[in-house]
Amino acid sequence: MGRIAQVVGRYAYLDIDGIEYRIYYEEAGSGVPILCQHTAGAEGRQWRHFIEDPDVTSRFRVIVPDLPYHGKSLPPAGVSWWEEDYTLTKDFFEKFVVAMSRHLELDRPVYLGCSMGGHLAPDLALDYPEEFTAVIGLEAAMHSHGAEGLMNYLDHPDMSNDFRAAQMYGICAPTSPEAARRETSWVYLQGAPPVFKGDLNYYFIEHDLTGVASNIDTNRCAVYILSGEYDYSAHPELGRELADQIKGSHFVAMTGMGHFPMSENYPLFKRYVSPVLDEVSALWSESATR
Amino acid sequence: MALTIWTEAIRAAANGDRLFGHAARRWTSTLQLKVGDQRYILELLDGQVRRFEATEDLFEASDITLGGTESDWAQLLAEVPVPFYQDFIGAWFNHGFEMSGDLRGLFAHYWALLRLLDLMRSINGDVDGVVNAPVVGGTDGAAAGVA
Repeated sequence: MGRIAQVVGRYAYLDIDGIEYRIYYEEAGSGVPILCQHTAGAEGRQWRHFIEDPDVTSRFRVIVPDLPYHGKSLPPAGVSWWEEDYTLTKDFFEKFVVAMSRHLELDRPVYLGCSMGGHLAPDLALDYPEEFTAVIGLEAAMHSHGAEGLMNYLDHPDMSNDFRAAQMYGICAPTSPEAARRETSWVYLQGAPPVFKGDLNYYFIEHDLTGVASNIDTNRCAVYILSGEYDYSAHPELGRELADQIKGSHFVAMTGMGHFPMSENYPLFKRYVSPVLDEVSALWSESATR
Repeated sequence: MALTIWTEAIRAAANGDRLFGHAARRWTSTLQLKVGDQRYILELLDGQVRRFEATEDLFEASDITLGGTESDWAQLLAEVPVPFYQDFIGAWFNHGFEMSGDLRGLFAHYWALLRLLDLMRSINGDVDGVVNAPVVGGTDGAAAGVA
């Protein structure tokens, strides 16, 4: 038999606010459960290097869902979704991750998300601290206001997915390998145009921890923030500002990295995230023995 | 020393480049590049760079303007740019670089602009420190701008 990845794809039927969603997710490994969240307008393939890394899967049960409307998770049946503008809200996004964890009966998993998924990390630590051992926000920031003027052009009929893909290529680090930058942008060629724009409602507009970040209690849920040097969408200084406001949180500046650490340069990302994984693994083991 | 834009070498490189040709397909537009006090006109016809040269004609019309100081362009053209000069949108949002005019048309062909930037970087790197610029698939190696 030829080479086969150890990743398995399945569908879970989640109930969120009375609506059933058929959610595609991939899973590999065993050990500490870790839920990985993709970026806006994208899907779980962004995590393909992480979920196939034996150094990770030997210690972690890696679970990578596609949000509804993304990847292989179709819009919900029984809802006239085509009659509405797709809009991701913080409330739904948080409920989705929590529902996924509960549905799979995960025991206080680690949450790891990037971009809008990174922004969700501190939001979850604030609103659902008992559900997670730790949250890791890649490109997490206090907020990402300032580029809302681009949103109406992300699903403009004059522009194809090429624009979204090229734009994402541009927020990778210039030193990231060309093939990985192309793979990162390839995922953006696949999404439905209204979905990227709708996701950015949460990313650009709704997410803002100004004035409340200091309420996060890292004794209840540990917080790690990792920011890429070349990320001009979620500025590293806004990641550091967020970390400064969360007592007991950890900040890692990723030199030579852009907006998509796990896909644009996995070997470099692994160097930055491995010590964090060691720490959250220890935290999970401690809490499991209590 | 002032920044030199090797217009003819860039024009020839773009027209001989498969990636640029694909990204610029069906793009007809006139771009004005402002490099400090210097201005350049880049005319595209269905993805081919028909003209790229310095201009002193104040009345020359363009659809799109890309403008910055010489320092901005030097950062954009660096082999490894410092943060947020890695592409035009980064420079626009973070460093006060000008992108104006037909932005819908520009963004529809943003891959082409990124590839043009790659080619400009490559040519800029090739000639860095060299008195006579090499021709990259061009005809006469003419360089416009100030040296």
